Amino acid sequence: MSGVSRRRATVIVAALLTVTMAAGLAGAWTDHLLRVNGRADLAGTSDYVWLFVVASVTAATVGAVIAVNHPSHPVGWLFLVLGVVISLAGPIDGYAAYALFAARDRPLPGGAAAAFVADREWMLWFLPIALILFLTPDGHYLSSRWRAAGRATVAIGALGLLLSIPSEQPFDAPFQDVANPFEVAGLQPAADLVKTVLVSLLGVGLIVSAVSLVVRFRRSRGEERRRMLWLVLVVLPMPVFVVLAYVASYYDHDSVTVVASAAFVTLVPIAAGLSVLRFRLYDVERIVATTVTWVLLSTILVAAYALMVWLGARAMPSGHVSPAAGATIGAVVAASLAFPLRRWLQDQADRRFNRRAYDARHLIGSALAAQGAGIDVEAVLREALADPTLTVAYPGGDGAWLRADGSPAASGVHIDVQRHDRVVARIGYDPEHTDADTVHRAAELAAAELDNIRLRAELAQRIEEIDASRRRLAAAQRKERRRIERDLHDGAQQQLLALAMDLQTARLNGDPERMRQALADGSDSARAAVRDLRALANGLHPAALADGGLTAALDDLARHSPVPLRLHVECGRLDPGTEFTAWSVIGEAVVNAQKHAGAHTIRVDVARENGHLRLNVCDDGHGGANPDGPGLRGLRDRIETARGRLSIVSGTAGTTLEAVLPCGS
Amino acid sequence: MRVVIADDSGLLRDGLAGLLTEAGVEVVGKAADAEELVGLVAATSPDVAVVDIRMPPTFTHEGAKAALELRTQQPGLAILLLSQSLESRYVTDLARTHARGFGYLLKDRVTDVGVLLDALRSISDGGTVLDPEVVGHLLGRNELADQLARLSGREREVLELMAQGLSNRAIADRLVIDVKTVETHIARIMTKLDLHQTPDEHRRVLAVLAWLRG
Repeated sequence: MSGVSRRRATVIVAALLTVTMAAGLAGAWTDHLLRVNGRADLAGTSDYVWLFVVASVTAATVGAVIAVNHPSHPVGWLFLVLGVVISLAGPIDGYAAYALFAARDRPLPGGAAAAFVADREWMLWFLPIALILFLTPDGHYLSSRWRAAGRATVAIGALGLLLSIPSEQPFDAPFQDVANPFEVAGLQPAADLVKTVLVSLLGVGLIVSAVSLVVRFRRSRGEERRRMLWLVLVVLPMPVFVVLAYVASYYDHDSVTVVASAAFVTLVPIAAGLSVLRFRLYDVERIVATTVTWVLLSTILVAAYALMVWLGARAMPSGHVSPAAGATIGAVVAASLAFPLRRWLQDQADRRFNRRAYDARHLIGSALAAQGAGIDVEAVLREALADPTLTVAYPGGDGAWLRADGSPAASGVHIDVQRHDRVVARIGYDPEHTDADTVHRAAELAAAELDNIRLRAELAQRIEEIDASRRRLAAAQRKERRRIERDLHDGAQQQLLALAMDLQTARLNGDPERMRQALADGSDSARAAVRDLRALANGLHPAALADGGLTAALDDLARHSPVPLRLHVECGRLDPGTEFTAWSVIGEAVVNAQKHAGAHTIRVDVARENGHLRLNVCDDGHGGANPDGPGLRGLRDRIETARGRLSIVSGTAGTTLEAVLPCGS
Repeated sequence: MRVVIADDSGLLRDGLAGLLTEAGVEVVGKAADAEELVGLVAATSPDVAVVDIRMPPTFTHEGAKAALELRTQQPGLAILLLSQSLESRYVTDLARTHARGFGYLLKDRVTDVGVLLDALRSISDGGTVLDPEVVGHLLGRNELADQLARLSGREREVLELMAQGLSNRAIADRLVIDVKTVETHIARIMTKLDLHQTPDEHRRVLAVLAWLRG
């Protein structure tokens, strides 16, 4: 079945499961027919029919799971075939009985043929089983010699079946009086002898297949060996089963045959399924440990409860204390015992039945106790869970998962560790090495430390952000100072120096007319210098802001703006810091809209709500503002320093900038 | 005395040229940047170049560099550097390597025409002139506090003027004392600071500057 896609495999599996189910229903229907026609004694050919139902359902289910997960693995398909073949036995048997003994206008057609098939079909069961044992767990024969053995077994089975067709031998009960429709009298008894030999050889083939498995088991090491353990345990008594079945069949001890073969047919799929699907051995250990824990826990708690109630009834003379009081005390005692007891019992059970989880927990516990903070949790978990590929990742921003060194975590099989209802870490592990539950329980122990690491990482990231913002702010401030220095240098300072020189020159000259002219020019230059200085000072901190607040400063801004500003300002006076931040943010946004966006109108809304100041600057320019550009970055830094938030929407038409600043009540 | 002026600000260039002309100094050319200055000096062979330290395009030390470069071609050219803000360390280093005919003044000092003319005269004679702010800055350094404490108030004044490049005569005039008294002060300062006596007033500035810079 190599090269079968999973999808196609699913379809085929569904079809085979449907056949199995339909066969089961048909079997139930023929049984029903036998009952209504007064032959309930024939319904279900034996008392052990349920064993075959279990065998068929188990084989089909295990086969379906394997085939869907590993479509190229032959064992899955062999199990499905086994399930179908077993399930078909029911309706065929039932139909033969109904057609020959119960139907009103009997015999119905094909009754004898059905009886024949019912009598021989069981031989078909053993072929898939033998092949399954030959091919588990990797789907290949152990060697070419074993392959020959496997093929010989199949050939013997087929030949035996073929030779049994013309046999005169009477059928098993209840068809012992039915004649074989394919009987060829002349061939007897030579054919019978050969058939008996062949059927015996089929039994030998089965035993050889079991030996193949045991050889495989003996050669395997470590993980593989553990995976095969269950199947080997089932297969080891097989020679006994086979011999028993043959002997029982020879002496007509039907019930023994049925129980022996059905038990075998049921157990093999389960064990092989465990083996092929790589269920981990200690998963079973875990189930055992958990079961033991809960059974003991319930027993002890019920005993404690009963003891309290009994003591209550004994200690107090009847009538003085109500039975309800005893029950209440009992419940309280039991409840208060439950949690610590569960932990203790779980620990004890793990120690005996689930040693690996126990060791892991103790290793983590002692590592945490010894080292405390700063421990390398990843290394400890790796050692404790014996998974060198285990990784611990922490939630970063934007839903990303980062490892402790800041590198992104690879996606894979993982569990999320929760603490106080939030996911604090994600642990990736290799299911070949460990399982989700063990990782979970180990991680629970380290959850506090994991949370600490997460918090530290978050804090470090936050500090890094603040640091970067502070550096940007400092750089922006330096740049701003240089600009002011240049403005002063090129403007007022030059004007005043030139003025001083001109006045000196005039004085040196001494001519009164020349001096008058110099004084007139000088007062003009002095006024110009003052104007320059005022403009510069206004740019640093507008006088209107201190004088009349944000409203006045924005009015001033609108008066001098080359692009029309539409103002809607509804906030009274605020604290000077907030007013300044708001003014500089709006000022910069307006300048950006004028300079870079080619806006025709700019709307500025300022509103105060719930202790926040909401600033909205919206222009009709061509948009395309880059929120990560140095300008807007600086703006964001300034707003975040004032503990505010900035959002920018800039499409192809217009830019809207919204800032929210805290401003007290 | 023939002078060229180099400053990127037209306002200052014209103001300074007017002032110097009025004071009787011959201004033979004005340049707006270093390149223009080089051409101008080659064409006019002036006695002194008055140059703004900072000029376009980078506004670092283009002016000063161009002027010193010119001196390698015209060793007799005296240079008066101007700047709007104090560049103490830079000009002290320049003065130590190019002491002859070298001067540095803050631009606001230039508006005192007497100081300006004194400086021009001094450097065209091969002297060294440093703005009092530079000397004050050097003297104000912490490391010197102990050693300067050994000087009397008057000696300290004399040292300051020596460092600015003033001659004994000029120091005597400035402090309104006798030249002989100045010489006595100087001798005592040299002893206290462990400096070599030198009869050459120009070399004396160097010694003092070297001592001040440590």
